[in-house]
Amino acid sequence: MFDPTTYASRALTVAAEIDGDVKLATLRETLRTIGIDVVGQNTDPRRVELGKAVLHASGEAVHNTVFRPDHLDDTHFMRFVIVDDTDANGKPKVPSNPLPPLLLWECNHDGKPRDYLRKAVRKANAGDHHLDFDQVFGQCKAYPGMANEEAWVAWMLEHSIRAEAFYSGYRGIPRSRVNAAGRVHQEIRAFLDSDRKKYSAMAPAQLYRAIRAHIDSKPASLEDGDLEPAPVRGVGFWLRKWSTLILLGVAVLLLLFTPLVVITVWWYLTLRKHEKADKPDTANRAVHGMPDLIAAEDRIVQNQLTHLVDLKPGFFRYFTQRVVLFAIDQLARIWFVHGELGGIASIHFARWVILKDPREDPPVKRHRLLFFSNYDFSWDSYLGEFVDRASGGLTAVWSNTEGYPRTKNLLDQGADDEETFKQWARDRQIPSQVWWSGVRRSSVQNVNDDIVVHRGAVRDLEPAALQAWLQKI
Amino acid sequence: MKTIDPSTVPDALSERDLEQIQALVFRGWARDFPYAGFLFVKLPRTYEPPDSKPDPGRARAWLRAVSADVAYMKGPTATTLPAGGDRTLPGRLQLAFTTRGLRALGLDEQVLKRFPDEAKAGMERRARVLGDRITLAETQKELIPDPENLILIEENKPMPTDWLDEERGGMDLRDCDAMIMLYGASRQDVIAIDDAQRKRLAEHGGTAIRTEMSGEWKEREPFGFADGLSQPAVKGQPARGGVAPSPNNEIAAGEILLGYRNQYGQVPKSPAFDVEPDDSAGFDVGKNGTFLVFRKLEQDVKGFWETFGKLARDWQGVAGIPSSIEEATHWLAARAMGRWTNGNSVLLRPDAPGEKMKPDEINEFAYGADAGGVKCPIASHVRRANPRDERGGDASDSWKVVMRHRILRRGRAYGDLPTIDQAMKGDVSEYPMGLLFVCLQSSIAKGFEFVQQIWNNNPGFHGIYQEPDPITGPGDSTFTIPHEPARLRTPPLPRFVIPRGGGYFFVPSRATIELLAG
Repeated sequence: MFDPTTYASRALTVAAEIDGDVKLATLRETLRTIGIDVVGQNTDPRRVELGKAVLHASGEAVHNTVFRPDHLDDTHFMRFVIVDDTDANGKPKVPSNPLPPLLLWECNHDGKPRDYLRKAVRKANAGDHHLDFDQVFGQCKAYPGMANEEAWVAWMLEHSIRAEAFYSGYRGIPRSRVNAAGRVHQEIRAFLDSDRKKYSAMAPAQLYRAIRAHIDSKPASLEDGDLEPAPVRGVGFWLRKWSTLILLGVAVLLLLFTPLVVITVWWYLTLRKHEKADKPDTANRAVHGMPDLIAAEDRIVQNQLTHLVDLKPGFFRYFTQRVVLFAIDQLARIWFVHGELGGIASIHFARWVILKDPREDPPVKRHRLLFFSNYDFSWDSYLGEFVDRASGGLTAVWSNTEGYPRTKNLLDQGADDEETFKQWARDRQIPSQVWWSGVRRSSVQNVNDDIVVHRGAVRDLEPAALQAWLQKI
Repeated sequence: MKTIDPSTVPDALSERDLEQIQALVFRGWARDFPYAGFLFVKLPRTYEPPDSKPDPGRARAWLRAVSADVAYMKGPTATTLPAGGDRTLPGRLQLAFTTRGLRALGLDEQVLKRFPDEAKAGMERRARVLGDRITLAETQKELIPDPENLILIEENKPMPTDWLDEERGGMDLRDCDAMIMLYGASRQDVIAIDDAQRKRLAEHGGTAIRTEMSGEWKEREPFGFADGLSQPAVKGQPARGGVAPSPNNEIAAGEILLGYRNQYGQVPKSPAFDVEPDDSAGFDVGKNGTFLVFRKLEQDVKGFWETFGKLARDWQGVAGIPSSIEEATHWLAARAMGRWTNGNSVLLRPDAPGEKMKPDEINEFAYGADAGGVKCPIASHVRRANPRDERGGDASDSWKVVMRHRILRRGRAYGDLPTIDQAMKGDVSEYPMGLLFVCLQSSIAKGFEFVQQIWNNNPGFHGIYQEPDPITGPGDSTFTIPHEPARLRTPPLPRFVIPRGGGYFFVPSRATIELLAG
């Protein structure tokens, strides 16, 4: 059964191999130009000239001529990242076993990927010169070009990788509704400010009617654009929720209380063996990060994290990783749908993607776990939330990767060692050359509050819910 | 680097530790010594030909001389200070160093590199985190080509705009090596003690940058609000009499001092020597030390009360606000602060200040029962500086998080403080006044910077929209007062607190001072 809130938010991850060193250098240059404009976050010294306008216009973007993410419709956040498999000093991470350089396009969008891509390429071809995908992806192997739209869409889909787990702080809410909700909320704020004496003296029901009447009158700020509120979760969601919970429950029962318990015992004993043999990173000083990563942070309400780490070799860890991410993905669809993931309320969109080793016959297979996050507030507070509130879940995910702090029973220890965990995370963070946020001023909670306020402003509220709704404004 | 099992390290102080720790950690000295001076100095640097390596000899000689004056909690400690000639005066002295100063004293480079990044960078390089205004040209200095190069970090530091205003007391501490905190019974005493310290410094080839003098200590800050009411207690700290700390106000020693378990149950990484066969093998330079933040904050007392006075007049007749202009002014300012001027929380006394509450009552509250902030606005200064049980999740989760970000405050007010009546009437000295803010913590990033960036100045703190701290924030933002039937929101408020400079320092233990003195 179709339910917009379960299926609307999508995570597109395109990963394409860059065609040699020369093209890699060209791509770096192109992304730098875009990046300077988009967030004013680029650390290139030329930011002085190009950046001036960026900062003067109160942090809003001045416009490059290559690629403007704000021209993409139905998009919440996006980034371009170059993964060149080198360390901070530009040397290959694993000299004896290097991987080819990749361009990643992370996109959080509405609707089916095919429709989304088709719409984007049509817009570009119809004369939007600020969506020049060719300049970006033209440096990748076998890129077909935008001119042939169907071939272009097919190529993008071919190079996109399904997220093993995907979470959104407002899953299923289309970008257009996020925008509309923000505008309606702003209008109500201004309305209440316009005559404090009058409105403070009203009874709640009376004030509610006044607000409704005002929004109905379509004030100037809401003149264009429809006022349809964000969709609500329907029967489809509840069916999915309960069927998933029952299936997960049955799976757990089978693995614990039937002869299949043999698998569970084998898995647990193998896990303990691995955990004892693991070689975690150690640190001898307080958490520190690369200056170019830090210089790009704390410029708007959100920050971003692109994190890439090799899985521990062998099938066992690969298998465990996939099971853990599968479970998180299911829970993110049915359980963590109220703006928090395991107690962390600051994530707009996050996803885990496994980059499988693409090579035919490598010395050793190197699968990598990629994590993209678009989160509120500082890096330190975000990683701190991991440690404070969700250390078990995160340990379950990342204990399958190289260098992670020592763990016990998959969930224990690990991220509890706060400084070691944060240092491990910083050491594997890679720069995002271009990162764009569509909600520069709003936290996850702001967006969710906007949605509730918007709904109440255009749909009738139960009298019992009135007081709480008024306090949301 | 040996790995330590955190469970073997205590989280409370013992009697013996108190001999190592500078007394400032436990004492603000306010009642004994109502005057303070903060002397910022440049240590002597001499270079040895032919290889021009810096020779810390003279700086160390100075430290040997001054180390006898330092106050500790237990053990040999100075209770009088040199005051020129053979004269001594009752007073206290505490010592703190920048990493630049520690380098001048010849501390091993490897150990210096293990100091936290923010301590090495200094407050100047943290403008974005702290919300200091800075020009684009200055921000260009932010990036250091080689983060491991201590000299590059120290040189060419960016300066926030407001720190450059010398007329308003702006401070340039980019070359500062050490801060000498002086506490005396009177202004004259502090001046005499300061003179004697300057003279000694000059004799050893160092220079004084400036001294920041406090005003007389009062139990309130310049706007007129009772201050210093909420301080955490450190496990095992010497008793002061009075009330025992409530459980949520007592924090592990490792939150304030290095070398102890903290609220994460971990021992924070501390700058230490490698375990190698040499004289200082494995010596932990950080142990029993703490990081100190000094920040000069000018307060626009006149602008503050004028703004809330105007608001009170404009809002006459708004339901729920006191009808007298004077009371409405106080009511509005108290919403922004989170406390009334007498210190009572607006949570416990929402409508009127009432009698000042007893010491064991005034700080005993939690915000859970006021989740919407109708009594105490969520955006108010005091609520966001210490959100107690309201940092998300259930109350115990929140306390857990909040107790990982507590700081000890040791600041003093400066300037000619008006009485509360004078302040509200705008009868205020035209000379600058404000706070010489001082706080202590085992990590500046998790302490001061976190509180400043994630709680006070965070425009999206706890679900509020685009509203940094109404009192100490960057200004030009609205302030929302939850109310019945719906919230009231002020027009954008001006900036009331203007940062005028500061620095990040390390307060070493007795053993580390001995090591540095050579």
